[in-house]
Amino acid sequence: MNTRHKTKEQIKTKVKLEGLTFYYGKYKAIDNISMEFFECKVTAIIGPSGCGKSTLIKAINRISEITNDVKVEGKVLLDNKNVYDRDVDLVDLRRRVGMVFQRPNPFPKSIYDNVVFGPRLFGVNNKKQLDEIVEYSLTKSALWNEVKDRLNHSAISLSGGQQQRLCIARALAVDPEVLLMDEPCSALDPTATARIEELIEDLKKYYTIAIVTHNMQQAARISDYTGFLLNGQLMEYNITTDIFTNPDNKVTEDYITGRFG
Amino acid sequence: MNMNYNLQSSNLKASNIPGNASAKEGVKRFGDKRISDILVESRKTNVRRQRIQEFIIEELLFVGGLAAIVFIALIFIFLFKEGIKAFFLIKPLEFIGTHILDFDDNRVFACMWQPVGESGKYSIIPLIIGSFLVALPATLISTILGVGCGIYLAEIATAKIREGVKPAIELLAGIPTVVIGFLCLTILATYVQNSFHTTFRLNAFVGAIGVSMVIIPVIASITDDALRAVPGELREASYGLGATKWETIWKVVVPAGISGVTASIILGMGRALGETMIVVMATGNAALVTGNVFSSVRTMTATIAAELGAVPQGGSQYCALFLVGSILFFITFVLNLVAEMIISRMRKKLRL
Repeated sequence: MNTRHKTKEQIKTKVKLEGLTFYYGKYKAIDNISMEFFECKVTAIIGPSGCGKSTLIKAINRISEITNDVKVEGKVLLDNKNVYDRDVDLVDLRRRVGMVFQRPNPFPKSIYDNVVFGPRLFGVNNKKQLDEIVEYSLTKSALWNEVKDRLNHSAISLSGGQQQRLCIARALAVDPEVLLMDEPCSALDPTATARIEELIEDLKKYYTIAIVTHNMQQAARISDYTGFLLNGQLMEYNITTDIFTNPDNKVTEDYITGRFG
Repeated sequence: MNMNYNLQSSNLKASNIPGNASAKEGVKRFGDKRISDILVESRKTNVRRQRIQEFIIEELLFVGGLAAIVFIALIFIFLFKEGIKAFFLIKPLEFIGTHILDFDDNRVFACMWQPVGESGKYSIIPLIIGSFLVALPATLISTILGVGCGIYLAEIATAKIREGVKPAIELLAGIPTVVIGFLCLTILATYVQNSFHTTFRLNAFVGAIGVSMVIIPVIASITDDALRAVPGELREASYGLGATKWETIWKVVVPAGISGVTASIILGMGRALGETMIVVMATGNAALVTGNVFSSVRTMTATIAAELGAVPQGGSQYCALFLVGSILFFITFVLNLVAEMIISRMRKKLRL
């Protein structure tokens, strides 16, 4: 594995994986991965189904361990602090590392209540503050103009693409530092996908984004760095343009050119 | 390429398709026939038998389904036909109450169920009060315990515990009600009287506890199903925003499944109103107009069960009992309908 930084700008590491190995029960889903996610950059994780892409990003906000029996070796450093340390506050961790899921999953509540769900959990009840958070988050997720007149409508009444942008707004409402996106466009049509991609382009100014995608064109379009995973191992990690034009690894090339996967 | 496929005579054999015939190498053959030819031929001989079979099965299923509806309709019609007759035999006002002479010879309006003799009194008010005086506390007790149990099963219990606990709860629903009634009558009633110092040993509260034994499993089981139907993605989203387990259950899962939980409570209440054996045995069967749960009461079901076997057919009391039955049927029917509507609304809401 070889990481070359060709850009001259100053890049800061936000999340760093050090020898991360991840087990579901006895099954090893991730095998000794070390990589970095850089601040205000989009890092795409590509690879065939079941290669551990989702597991990799879910290891960062420790969400897999809620429903699964997991075992973790190695470290996940968020601002140089291992998130698997005993003294880590999971609530705070998940506030700092927001997540957007594969299928839009708004709560069956109003649009407004969806966005303020996070802030309310943290005890914010000031109506004026909540209103401002809603406007800010929905504006950031490019949904405000479409829904500002019907904030009290059920979130379920929105289209799939709007629901996904609402889920992004919901994640932004707790002011995260890192955004994990687990195939956020896989359930959306091409138009909605394009809107989300534009949004990601805009959001990376403020957040560190890690995106899992099945779609290699998408990775090529929106990401700055790309990691290629196969059978739980990181085959190659590099600047996106290098991965797609001049991969070091034969397997990477085969996958990117569509020879398997 | 112009091809006319005559599907009726099934001459769509592989060998007839141009371009396919040339693919002779490597295709499994039986003599000169390919697998597809054999399938098509053997289907031809099977097709008539299959059609007859399917016709018979479809008709049988239809008749079966229809029979269930017809039976319900017949019960409905019979019940109401007999119930309506009561209005011709007894003045409608008498179903509310009658004027009687009290101990000081004053005429007072009283709601009494005393369906005996020439001047039988047929007020159904005490019976309705009795039914609700048992059903409401029973529903309250079972809501607290049943919903709690359902939440525990769906959200907190590990798979192993759930595997053990859920069948046990469903087993509770299978205990014959006469056994529960017996326990209430012999053991629970004494215990309740000693704890609450009640005037009546057998009272509505004893009956309510007994009835909740039957409906706790109903409520727990439906609540569990309703909460497990809430998509896991909502839980993930909630945890992803920093919610704790308790916050996720209370602010996401239960609100998402609230319709199902409500429906389970309403269905449970329907069961409580319809429950007979336990209330016959445990509530004392005195048709009193009272608001006290520690008073003896007589429910609609208990009245029918206790009296119908001993009355002459077609008489005033006979018809009055049918009227009571009709009212009970109507109440439970409405409750079930409401529950059904709530459940279907929830399905829509969650897009299941």
